[in-house]
Amino acid sequence: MSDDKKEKKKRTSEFELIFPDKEKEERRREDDDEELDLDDVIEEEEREKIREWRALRLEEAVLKRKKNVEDLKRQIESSGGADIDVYTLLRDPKTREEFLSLSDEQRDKLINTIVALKLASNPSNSTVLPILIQSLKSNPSTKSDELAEFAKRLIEVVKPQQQTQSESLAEKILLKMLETRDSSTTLAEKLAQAQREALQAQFQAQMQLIMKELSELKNRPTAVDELQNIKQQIEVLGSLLGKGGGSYDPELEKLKLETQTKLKEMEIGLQKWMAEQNIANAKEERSIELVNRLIDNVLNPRINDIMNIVANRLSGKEEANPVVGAAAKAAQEVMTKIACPNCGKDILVPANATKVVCPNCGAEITAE
Amino acid sequence: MEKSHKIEEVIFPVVLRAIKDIQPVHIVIAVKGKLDLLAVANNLWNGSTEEQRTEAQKLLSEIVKEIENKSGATIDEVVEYASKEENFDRFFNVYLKEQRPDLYNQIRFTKGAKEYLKEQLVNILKYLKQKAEEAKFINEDKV
Repeated sequence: MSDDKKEKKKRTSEFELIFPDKEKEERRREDDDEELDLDDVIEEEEREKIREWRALRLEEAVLKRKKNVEDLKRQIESSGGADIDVYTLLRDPKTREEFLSLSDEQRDKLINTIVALKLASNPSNSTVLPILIQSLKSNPSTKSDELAEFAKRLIEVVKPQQQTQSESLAEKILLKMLETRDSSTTLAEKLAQAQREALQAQFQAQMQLIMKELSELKNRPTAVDELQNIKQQIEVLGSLLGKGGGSYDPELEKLKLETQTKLKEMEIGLQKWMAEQNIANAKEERSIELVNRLIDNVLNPRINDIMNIVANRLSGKEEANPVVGAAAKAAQEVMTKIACPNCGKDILVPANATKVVCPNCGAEITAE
Repeated sequence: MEKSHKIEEVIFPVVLRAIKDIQPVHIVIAVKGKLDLLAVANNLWNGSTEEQRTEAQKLLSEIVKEIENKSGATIDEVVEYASKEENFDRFFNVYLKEQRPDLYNQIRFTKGAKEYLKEQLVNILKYLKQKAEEAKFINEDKV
């Protein structure tokens, strides 16, 4: 119990001992005062709550109104501006006069057509209106659907012209040129400039995209970073197991030794393979050298001799090389020319051959 | 030296000289067409003039004389020698093979050529003998 309470209790007991009735009266009065204060507080709180609730209601009303307004706006937008006054199309006084000269029935037909085709949503359709009026005047018995069909066709005819007017870049430039009267700048230059600008804009947009991707790539961790992380982790683990632990693990040591042995074996195998490769390369080089020497010293002269013989034979000269000539003579002796008994064409036959096939007719000839 | 060897030494070169201009293709033509060389020789003989015949006969008798002188055998013996199969085979397999390998191979590879040629050779030799004898008689009559 706190010291104040102890003190108060002590004083009360002393006061009760001296003035027993006064004390009770005093307490009652205090209680009444307390009740009065509480009512005020409650009332005040109620008022506050009411104020808050009213504010909320007001806010709700405002929001609801706002929502309604938004909905209405959206409705107007989705209807394509159908609610726009039909008379916006009748700005031209002449058209207005002609419109007024129509009968009530014709006017109704026209208004229905305008509303149905949403002609009023596009002020540029005002060119269509005088034609429709003229059509109604010239043919008063035209039905509403016929008029609508006619109006549709008219819009289709008018639309492309408007589009080309609005979209043609060349036209725009031409108009601008006429406005500025800049005779030094040709149309081609203007077109080229416009294309350049468009390309520049495209290029800048692409560059921005590339720069963005580059910055993202720079921030992204690479495979090397990941490997370094793994390496660090392994090092930490190694230090923990090898040094920090302080205890000797035979299994771990065995594994380490096995790994080292395998690595050494692989290293030795690699060295062996490299040595073998070197030997094989040297062998190959030597054999290539041998073949080259053989070609240079043996084959090339023989080929030259043969070429000489062929050339001499073709030109009708004598054989230049007597040694080769003798060899050719020997070869000729070995091979004899006979006539194929089947077709009569010449065949070269080896001296002791027993069976030959004619290269001309394919007949198989056997010696008797 | 045996007489047969002498004949061989003389007759083989004579035959070789006789077939000097024969080419392998001629063998094929002759065998395929079953050419009768005796008939050809007869035709040639019959179609020739009297002067040509006298000239040929002179030449033939000289050849026969040469053969007889060199071999020491008569022309009848030479024909008999040529008619024997083993002699022809030796001529073909040894002499012709060495001297005219083209004709040798052509005969080998042409079916029936060997038999044909053997027959024709004997016939021709007999014909030559006959003509040589005719010339001999003519000369003897003249004498």
